[in-house]
Amino acid sequence: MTDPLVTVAPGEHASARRGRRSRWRRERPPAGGSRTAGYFFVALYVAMLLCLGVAPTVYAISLALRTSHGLGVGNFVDSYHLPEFMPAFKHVLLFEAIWLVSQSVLVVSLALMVHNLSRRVSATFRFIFYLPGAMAGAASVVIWLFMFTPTTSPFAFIEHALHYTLLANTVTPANLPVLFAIMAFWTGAGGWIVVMHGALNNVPTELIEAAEIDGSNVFQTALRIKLPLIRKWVVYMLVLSFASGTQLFVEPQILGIATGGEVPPQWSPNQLAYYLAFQLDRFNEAAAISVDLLVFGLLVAVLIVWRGKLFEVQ
Amino acid sequence: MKSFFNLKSWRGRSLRSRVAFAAVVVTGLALAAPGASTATTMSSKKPLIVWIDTSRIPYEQAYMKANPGANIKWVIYNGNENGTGVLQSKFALWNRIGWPSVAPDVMFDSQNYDAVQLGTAPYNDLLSLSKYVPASVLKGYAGHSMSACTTPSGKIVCLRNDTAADVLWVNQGLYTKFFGKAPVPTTWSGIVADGQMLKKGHPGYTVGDIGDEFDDDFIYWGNGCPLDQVVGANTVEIDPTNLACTKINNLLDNSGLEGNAISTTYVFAAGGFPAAKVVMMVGPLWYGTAVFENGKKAPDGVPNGTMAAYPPPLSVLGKPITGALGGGLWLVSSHSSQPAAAAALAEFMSTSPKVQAVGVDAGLPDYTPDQAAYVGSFGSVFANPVVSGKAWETAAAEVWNGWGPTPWSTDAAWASTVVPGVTATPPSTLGKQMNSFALALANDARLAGWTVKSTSKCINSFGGSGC
Repeated sequence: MTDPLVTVAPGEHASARRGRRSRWRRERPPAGGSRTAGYFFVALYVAMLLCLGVAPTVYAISLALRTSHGLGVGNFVDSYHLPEFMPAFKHVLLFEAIWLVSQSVLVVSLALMVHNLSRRVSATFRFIFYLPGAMAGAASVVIWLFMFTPTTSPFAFIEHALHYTLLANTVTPANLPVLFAIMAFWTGAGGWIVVMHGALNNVPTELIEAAEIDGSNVFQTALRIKLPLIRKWVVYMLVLSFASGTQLFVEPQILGIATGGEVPPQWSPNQLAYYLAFQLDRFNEAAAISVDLLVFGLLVAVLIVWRGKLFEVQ
Repeated sequence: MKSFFNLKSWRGRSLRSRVAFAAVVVTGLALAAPGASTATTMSSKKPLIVWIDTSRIPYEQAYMKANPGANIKWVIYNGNENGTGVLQSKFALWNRIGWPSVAPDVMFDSQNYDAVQLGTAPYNDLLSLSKYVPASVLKGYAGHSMSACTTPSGKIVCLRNDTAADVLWVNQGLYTKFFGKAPVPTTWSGIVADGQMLKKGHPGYTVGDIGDEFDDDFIYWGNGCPLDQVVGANTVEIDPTNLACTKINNLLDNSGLEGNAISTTYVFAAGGFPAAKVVMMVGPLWYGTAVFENGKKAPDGVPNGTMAAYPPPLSVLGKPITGALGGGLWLVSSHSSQPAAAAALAEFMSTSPKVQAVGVDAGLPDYTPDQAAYVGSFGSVFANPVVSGKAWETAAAEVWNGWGPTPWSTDAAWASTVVPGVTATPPSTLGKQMNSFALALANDARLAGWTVKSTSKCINSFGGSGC
């Protein structure tokens, strides 16, 4: 009984009977031993974050600010004036617009629908939705290569309806943002449906029952009760997806190599940075573009968090 | 501008086998890395490290047979396959952190334009070979082919492996059937005229193909259209309005053949390419066994002894020039601790008849003293071995040196700007897409820090606003 962890048990036990008070009790900081364990686990994460997150960022910033005439913003100006700079950002923004809108609408509506099904059916559906997410990155690009090729695709009928007979007809500059949005959707949507389902499970049943008693139908309950209560999760999804979307790299890179260059090697900003660093040995301008991406992602995240009131306490 | 072998082993197959091939290469790399065949040796000297691609394994075997006991560590890599930039990225990193002991001394490189980039600033990582390789050997390479190994300041930074010059491939049986004893065309307009006759009388048969990711090499390079002309240090001339360019565009666009007798599919299409319907086609030497006599049955292939190579057609301006599609290079690192031995190995690989005669599939040696023996080994592979052999040698010497070694891929620019249009239904014309192709090239050049010279309003305008 000297173990501080065990002393919590009576309080827990009492909570069932004493309701309110016990909740207050449970939220008290845990006693000494578990606090040390907490620091230990956080320390591991902080060490990883410093090595793999903060240090490379600091290095990128220092590279970006170093020019042949000392410290300055020359690399930012030079990289901005590259002919591929603005097109690369336009490509990615167009891709993000298509992807984020379709992902938000489809993920939320599928999660709401699945949540209304019986528990076993809903679990099956969530598992099926999640499956494509298991093949992320390079593996998914190889599969999509088959799917986009009219002679091998199971969806060839769609491509034939569009008069596509070769992979080159599918992989056109105008189609690229749509193709990458399709790939990103199938990689990520399943995982987010599971997350949204978890969020929906936190909606109190009393609330839903009360709405039903007041005569709310399935759609009204979904849109007026459930949706507002998971809004923060949707915002959370947008922030994370936007950041990963601006870093689009693997999909265009591999599709480009597989098609002999139909996706230019500077299609996305991240590809442009990679090309500068590893094809032309110009690390400083590449670092400047990476910093641009970081600032861009942070600004949009702050905007979404602020407008979406993500951290507001209800 | 791409490797003979790169194309044969990677593009030359269906999508399914491409993926399988990638898997094999990855496994091969994993297996090769730790236990790369290190020759047993008595000396404690550091072995020469030589990087080759999978297609060059017969070369390794030939070398070891000729030099038993040589202290060499052979490492398999992807040959710097187009778009992967393995050497560029490794060199860039090694130049920052120092060159490790696992760095290669000698490399095979499948990309024609790599040597000059890696041998000049900011890289400067290749050994200048004129000190180590006799001038008589350097003069032995076909035509102007050593221009891909010569930096603007005149340094020799690589040796050529094989040549992949364009010839006119003719299905001898079909040609005699349709055209009797008429001589095979020697001009582009002759090819177009034959195409028009076939379109009318024998629809379905073809005289060419413009749907591939690399067809800019025979259409524009082979016709002397200055889209990649190095005119000084880091200066390129890109002139889509030049007569050579507009003339070939007009000839093909006005022929009414695009999409029928000049097919717009891939020669390596995933669903198969009707090789048995090709009466004639301008293409690199290796098309002979990779596209036509490829071991497949009609319609995707023809039996051995069907095709014959003829000299490439004269350019639209009447010049005896042609383009090329591949041909590898041997590079020597300037960071090698044994430069003389490394240069000697590169020279041996590039010039020795023991290495450069490993089969018709391997590609014509660029080193001319080796060529006669090589084409003499044709046997019954092609329909007319004597004519075909002569045509190969002629083509190797005619590759136009107007397209220089620039650190970007003209094929990639062509693939992203023109291929989607010409392969669409109905196809767009070459002329309509010329500006976007040229602008993509100019952007690639400017991105690489080069100066672009042009008389085209499109290229000189800001952001392509005048296109």
